Amino acid sequence: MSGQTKKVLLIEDEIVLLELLSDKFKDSGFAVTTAQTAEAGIKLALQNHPDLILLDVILPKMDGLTMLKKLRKDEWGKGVPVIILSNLNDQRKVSEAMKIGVYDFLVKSNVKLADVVEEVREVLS
Amino acid sequence: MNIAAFDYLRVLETIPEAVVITDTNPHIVYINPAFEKLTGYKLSELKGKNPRILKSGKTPLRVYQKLYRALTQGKSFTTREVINKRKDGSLYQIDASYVPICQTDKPVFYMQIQHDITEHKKAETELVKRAAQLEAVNRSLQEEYVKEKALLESIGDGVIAMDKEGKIIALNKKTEAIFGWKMQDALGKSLFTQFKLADEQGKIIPKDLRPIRLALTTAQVGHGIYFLVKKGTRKIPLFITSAPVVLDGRVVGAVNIYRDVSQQVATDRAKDEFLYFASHTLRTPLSAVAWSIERLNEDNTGYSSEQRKFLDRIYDQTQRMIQLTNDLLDATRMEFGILSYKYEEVNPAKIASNVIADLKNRINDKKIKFKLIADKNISAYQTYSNAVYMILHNLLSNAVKFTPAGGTVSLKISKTEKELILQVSDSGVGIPKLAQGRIFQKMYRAQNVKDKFEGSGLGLYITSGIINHMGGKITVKSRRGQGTTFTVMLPFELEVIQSKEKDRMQL
Repeated sequence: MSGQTKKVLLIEDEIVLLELLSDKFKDSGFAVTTAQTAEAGIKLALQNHPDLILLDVILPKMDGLTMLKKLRKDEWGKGVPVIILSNLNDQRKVSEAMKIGVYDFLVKSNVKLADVVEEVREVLS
Repeated sequence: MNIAAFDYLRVLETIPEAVVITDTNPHIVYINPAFEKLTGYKLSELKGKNPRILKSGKTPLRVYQKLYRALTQGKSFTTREVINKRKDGSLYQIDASYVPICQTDKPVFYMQIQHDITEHKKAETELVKRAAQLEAVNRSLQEEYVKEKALLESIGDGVIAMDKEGKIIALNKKTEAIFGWKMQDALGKSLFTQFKLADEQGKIIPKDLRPIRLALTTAQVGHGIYFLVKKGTRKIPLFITSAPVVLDGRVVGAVNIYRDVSQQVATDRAKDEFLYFASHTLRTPLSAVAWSIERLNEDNTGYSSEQRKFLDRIYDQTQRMIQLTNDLLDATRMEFGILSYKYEEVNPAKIASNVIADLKNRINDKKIKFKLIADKNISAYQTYSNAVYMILHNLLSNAVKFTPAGGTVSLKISKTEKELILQVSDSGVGIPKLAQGRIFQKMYRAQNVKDKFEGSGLGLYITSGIINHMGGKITVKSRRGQGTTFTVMLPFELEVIQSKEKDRMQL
């Protein structure tokens, strides 16, 4: 990795998955912040300005795509790379996310943790 | 002038009534000019003849019986029922008076005064006929009314007819049941004030966005699912069709049809819930297991070879479970008609390279020789990109799965004038002849692969379903032990089929 440590924000409500992701990213040399709700996630994003956000779609109150729309209205939030990591794989959701503006839409059960890290590195390189 | 000396016969010469006088035999002794004119006979022709010469045979017999009785009693007789015959054979109907002319109380002559009422009778018959026609028209109008009423009443949907201002002018029983009104209370009222419609979230639909607006203002048929807001009850989902009534090119009103779709909406919701469960709830623990094993495997120096074997097995079975879930989801979406297709301009060769990249590990693991032959003349075109991806992914992953290590798999992309041709060949186990007709059936698995290879029996079922949706065709050629070739033909021109989603509420 080049230069300073990259910051990723993980927004995921399933605690087991969040821990697995968080540990993997820490082990891979990232600075990790986590949130279990979209509300907490957007607050952290606007405060900490992470280099990349990994975002789940189904979240307790506000869903991931609604959060994404709000984020894209922010001056900084407009440009931050976002990768959707969800278990929904309905084409409509994928298209909707792509329209709002995400780097990729990954389906959790179809990717390895290593693939996720690799893709994040690719975006940030 | 003495009236007694007046020549009465002269009078008969001039009056417009036809007069015939007979003696008691009876023989005709006199006819007047009016009679000559009426019948066409001359006095010379009839003098001395029996008056039966005038009979037409159409007069009812009882009339003559009565006449005879009256005359023999010395009484006069009047009838309108006598129909006589002219010299030329034509018939005429008369208003006739028969008067006995008596001398010392004994009739010596009979005088008949005839008045032609043929025209009058004709008019009368015409009138009767007209009346009958009117009656028939009236009856058929009544029937029509009853039919329309019955038709309207027996329709299982609510029907409301409105004028161009949206004022209710007719409705049926089912409407009463849906809205809970009485017919007489609703007639004449505006549709807009009678009830409110909301979207699925309960937000009231503004007046101008209701389907009736479209019908009344643009003369188009509007439809969609809306929710009827009723006090104290749940919202009722209604499929509303609003059609304009156009007369001489102008919208004069509209007819709305209301179908209660509670059942369908409940079924749709159950589908959505199932799909959500399968895609999200079911896959979340599978992801957790798969990722956990991945973490364990990052450093496996601490495990015995047997422990390693178990770990691999857990991982493989988790992957299998994920694959089954994915297939189940795709098959279910396809069956529900809610598999979403992404329509975009794309080069099939590009999709193929994406699929190959996704299968790279498996191809490499089995040391399979992979060949891609793509016609360079095929350029990007508008198609369902994700559908083409699924077709290729299914066929190629099958080819890799059923081909032994070191075998070959090839993909050939070519075209005809109207179709894209995808040909996937392998040097694998092949499909027994008897199984070839059944491999596209849901959950069918051929005998020779059933126990040796894992799978859901859904892959080819989904593949052929998608191909069918695109108006294409798939064929198979295979010999057991020598490999298989699948050929897919996809038309370049897709009829972009409106998915059921479009008819479902877009709110």
